[in-house]
Amino acid sequence: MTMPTLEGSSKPSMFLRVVRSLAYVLIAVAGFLLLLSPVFATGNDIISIVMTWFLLVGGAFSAIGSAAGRWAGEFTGLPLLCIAFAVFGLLTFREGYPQTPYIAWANLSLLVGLSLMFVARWRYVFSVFRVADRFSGEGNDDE
Amino acid sequence: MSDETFRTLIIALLGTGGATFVWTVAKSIIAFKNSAEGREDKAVGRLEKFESECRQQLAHERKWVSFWSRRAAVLERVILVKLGPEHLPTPDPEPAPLDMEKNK
Repeated sequence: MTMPTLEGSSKPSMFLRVVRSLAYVLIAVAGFLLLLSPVFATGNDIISIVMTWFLLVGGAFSAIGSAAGRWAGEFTGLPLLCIAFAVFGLLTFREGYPQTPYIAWANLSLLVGLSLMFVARWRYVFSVFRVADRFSGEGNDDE
Repeated sequence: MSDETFRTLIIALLGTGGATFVWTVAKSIIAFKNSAEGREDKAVGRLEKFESECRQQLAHERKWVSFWSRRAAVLERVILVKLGPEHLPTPDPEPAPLDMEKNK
């Protein structure tokens, strides 16, 4: 169930784990702060609220999984983060386009780009999941 | 893009994310149950249950042995009394007090 080590190294990179966990924690904190903000809560509809919950839950799951070195955390949390970033990008684009179209496009590109990076990371974790899933059935004499 | 289309797109995205999340959670739980750690937990649980059952059985056997050993001792005494007082076991003589002077 643990994440594989980096190629050529004998132990998992603590630096990568700490930085990644910190990034996910900050994302979860961002979701929590957005939920607390009365302007955001009243000025936006249910879509925004769901999106912030996605940020909070996805960030928390990913942070716990990353800190513990377990693939299950990022495997479950990253889909929520991908969607949350993409939706956040679309919402900010929609809001800012009439006044500042270039900034709106820049925000959209940035957030959708980040969302795609999470997709790439999730694809890596998915391959770890497939390996774990394949080996989990072997040697099981219960069935 | 109209507001309605935009809203539909966002809802579709959120729905996809939510469905994927549910699927990944279910897959993770299944994978953990089938994993070595899951099996280890299961094996430890079974061993603990087996140990508890063994302890209960042992306590039961001890009670049973204690009851029948006492009963057997009483019956033996009754038989010996019926056979005659000469069959009764003589108590061991009391040990003589130690002669401390001699041991010095």
